[in-house]
Amino acid sequence: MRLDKQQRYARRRIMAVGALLSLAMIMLAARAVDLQWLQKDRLASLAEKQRYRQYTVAAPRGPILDRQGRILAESIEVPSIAAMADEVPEDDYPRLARALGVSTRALARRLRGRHGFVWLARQIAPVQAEKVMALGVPGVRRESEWRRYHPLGPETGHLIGFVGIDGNGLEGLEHAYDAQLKGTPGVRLVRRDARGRSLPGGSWIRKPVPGKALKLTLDASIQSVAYAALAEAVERQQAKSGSVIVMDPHTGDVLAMASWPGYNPNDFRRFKPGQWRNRAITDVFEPGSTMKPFTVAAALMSGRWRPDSRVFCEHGAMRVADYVIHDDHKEGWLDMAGLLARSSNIGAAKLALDLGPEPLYRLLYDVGFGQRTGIGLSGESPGILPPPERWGPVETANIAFGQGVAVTPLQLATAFSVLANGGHAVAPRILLDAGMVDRGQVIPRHVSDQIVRMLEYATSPEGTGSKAVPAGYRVAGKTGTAQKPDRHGRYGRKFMAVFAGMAPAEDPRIVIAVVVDEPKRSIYGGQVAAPVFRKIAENVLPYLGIPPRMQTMPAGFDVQSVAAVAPEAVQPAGSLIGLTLREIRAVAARRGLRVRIHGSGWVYRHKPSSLDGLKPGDMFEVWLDD
Amino acid sequence: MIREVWRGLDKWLLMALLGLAAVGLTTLYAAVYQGDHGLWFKQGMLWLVGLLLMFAACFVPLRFLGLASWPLYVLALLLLAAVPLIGEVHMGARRWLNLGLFSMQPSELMKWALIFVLAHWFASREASNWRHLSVAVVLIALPSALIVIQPDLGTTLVLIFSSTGMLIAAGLRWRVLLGTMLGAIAAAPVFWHFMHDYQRQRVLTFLDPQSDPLGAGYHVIQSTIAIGSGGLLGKGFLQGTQARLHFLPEQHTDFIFSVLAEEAGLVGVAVLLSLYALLIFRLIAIAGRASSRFGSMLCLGMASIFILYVTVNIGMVSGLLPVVGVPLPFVSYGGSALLTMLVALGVVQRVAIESRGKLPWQRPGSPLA
Repeated sequence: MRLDKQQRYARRRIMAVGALLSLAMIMLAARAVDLQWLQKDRLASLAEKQRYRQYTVAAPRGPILDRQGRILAESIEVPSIAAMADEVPEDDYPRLARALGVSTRALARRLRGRHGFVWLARQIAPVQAEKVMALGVPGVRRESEWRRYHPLGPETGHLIGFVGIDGNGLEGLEHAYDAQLKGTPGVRLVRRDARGRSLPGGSWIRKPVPGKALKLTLDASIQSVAYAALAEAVERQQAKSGSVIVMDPHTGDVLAMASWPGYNPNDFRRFKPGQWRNRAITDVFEPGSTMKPFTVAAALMSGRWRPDSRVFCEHGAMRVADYVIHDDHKEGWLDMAGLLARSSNIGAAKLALDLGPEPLYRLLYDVGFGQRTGIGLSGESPGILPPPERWGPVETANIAFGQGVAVTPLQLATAFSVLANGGHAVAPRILLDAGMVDRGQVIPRHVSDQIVRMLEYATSPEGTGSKAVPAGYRVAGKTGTAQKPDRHGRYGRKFMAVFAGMAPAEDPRIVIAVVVDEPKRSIYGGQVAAPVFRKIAENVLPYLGIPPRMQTMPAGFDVQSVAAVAPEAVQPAGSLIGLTLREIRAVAARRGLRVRIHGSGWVYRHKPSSLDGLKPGDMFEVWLDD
Repeated sequence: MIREVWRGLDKWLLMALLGLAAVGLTTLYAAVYQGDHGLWFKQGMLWLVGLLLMFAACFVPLRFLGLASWPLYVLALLLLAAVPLIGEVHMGARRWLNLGLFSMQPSELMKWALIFVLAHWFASREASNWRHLSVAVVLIALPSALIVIQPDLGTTLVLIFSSTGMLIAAGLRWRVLLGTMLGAIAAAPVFWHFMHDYQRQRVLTFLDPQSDPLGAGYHVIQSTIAIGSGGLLGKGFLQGTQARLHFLPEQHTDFIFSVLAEEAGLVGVAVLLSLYALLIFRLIAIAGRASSRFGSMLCLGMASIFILYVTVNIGMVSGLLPVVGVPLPFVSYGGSALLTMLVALGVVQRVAIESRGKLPWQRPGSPLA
């Protein structure tokens, strides 16, 4: 009995120990349920969080294209080398430095004593990146970056600008349209291990959205031609700099915009910031004689002057208030065409003084001087056009021949586009998808046509711009030779040679403005800038599908005496410019005049410039051209 | 005799053990998958050797073991006493003894020696008797004191708690147990005062792992995350992200439970805990039908040690208990721990075999047989 009792007692004790041990097991089981069932979501998300890391992935910038879709700027994926600084063993510094092409000391400065992500070499050649990665140095990693590449380099450098290493547009169009080009960076989820090394694979939280393309009105071919022509002239003249603009006068499309000296935006750091600016829109100059067509246009618009009106040019010197105006060539009486062809300052000043400031100011403002063109490029200058109430006689006279005002090359091209577009003002534009901004008819069509005829005459052998004419084409344009005012506003021995014009004269398809700053060999617009115009025009016109018309009839003359009755009444206002051979013969027949004819096509010049004073039997000469 | 032994062998215990071998080796494979596969083969060989040793232990009569208990205890005590004098220092603690041929931790030997000597002592005595109890307390206190100064708080606690299990089985009065526990709680501040900084740090970190998420608490946080992220069904064999990506520390030793929990989920944990429960249940059952009180006490001591290891290890990696370096029995990598545990189970099997009687060496009526 006692034994039984003792045994039962022992059993109970064993059970007690078993119960205690079971308690421990139950505790563990409860904890497992707690963690793996009740808390599993929280802990699983904690695991996710520490296992994944978010990376921002740069989106490629949108390309910049010319009007035909040719690439002017694109983003290319290039390798960069980075390192987790504290993971790179010091023993590996020398061979890593060798592969990177830097000194061991320079590399050590970047890595030693630092933690986390460090760039070692950004945007390097793939071959070099492979060489570095082949070393297998711990902590060194290859990253992908977008590098901006500008295939035309210096040709489009000023216009397009460049992008910093972190993908921000810093200059030019890259800067002005940064938001559109940039795109939206993506966010990538990458798995990593406990040491922070990211593992291959991963998923996108948000895919990077590439930037939008920027389509320009520019034509890469025209840009190249313009740049080369400008470069040649500036180099030959040992000039300081130069700019050229090629525009479509009907749409305002800028077909080319180039400056010299150029810089290579692919390697912009090697150039001084001063070389980055786009002179074609930021730099102003006194337009000089290129202003005179507008003075004449204002005179014609006033109704007080007609194309055949004559103005006495005082034989080279005229006093205005306490100031004397000079002409380079002493002239007597000139009609409007002659005034422009001989480029008489005195003639222009007399017109302006006759008109008064207001009408001239209004026209200059309407064709775009004194205000930003709104082309959408940063850094554009509005130029200087003083308000008319500040124009005294001296200012009025000076402005009439382009002194005392300052314009940008783009403004000059825009103003000439008005003449080329039948007096209709269209704002220049650089983006193809930007709408055309119509500024309305600012010069009556017949006036602008007359000015174009006169400007065509100004490029004849009689005018200052004869070097602007390419073989087989008729052009219209005006030279300018402006003295550069020095720091104190006094005119010295530094000049700007300017030419602005359009081609073909009979139906202008392009307007070209050329500005050369401080040419050394010659100072004259006709000698320095006009040849640039010719070179561009003779290349661009065939490119635009306008073939040259070479003369098939040998130069010579053909005298005809006509005494027949005029078949139809044609009464031009004194001027014969633009008439056909048939019409000339009709006029001659009606008036009983003899006519001497040169060339074929349309009249671009005749002598005398007005038929008003001729009596029957007198002879006049006409020059015709296609 | 082999037939007798085989017949007496507890088959359930054997199956639980083989189940643990399967789970343990599978988990270890996952834990060392990215590292040293050699460890896995080594552990496999150790299992084979250990099982052989276990079967060998089945043939050792309990009476011999009873006779060897005191010499074993004295030897372990002497070795422990030698540690402060000639021990080797590893990681700031003097625990190891270089015995020429091999190094050993006398404290490991003492765990088992204490079970044997207590089983022997209480084979014919009662813990309700003050005199008997006080001798037992001295037997426990001497090695505890030597181990705690090494310092090795974890082993000391294992020693004390496993002995307590045996004292309860031996008839310790509940009042005494309760009073001692209250006294220990009251004495806690005094212990705190004498604790080493790293031990205090462990306790503090245990109380609030987030207080030091990158330092001492890091391991516990990471293993908790791994366990919890396994969820109900786990991430699949070799698919545990936290283990693969090295967020888990000491994957193949102390933190191996997290690898299992992450990849096999609550289901896998349930399997493991069931195997442990079966193991412990069989130990208690064998203790219940043992032919001698010595064998019964041995089984309970072994059961206490196993359950302590399991509890402390899993409690540690799941954030319930402070971090003390205790392996997970039969799963963690480690040769000597596996071998000693398998030999211990061999002794338990011997108890089961002898409970059927009819074996030579048995002396009916002897407290040892």
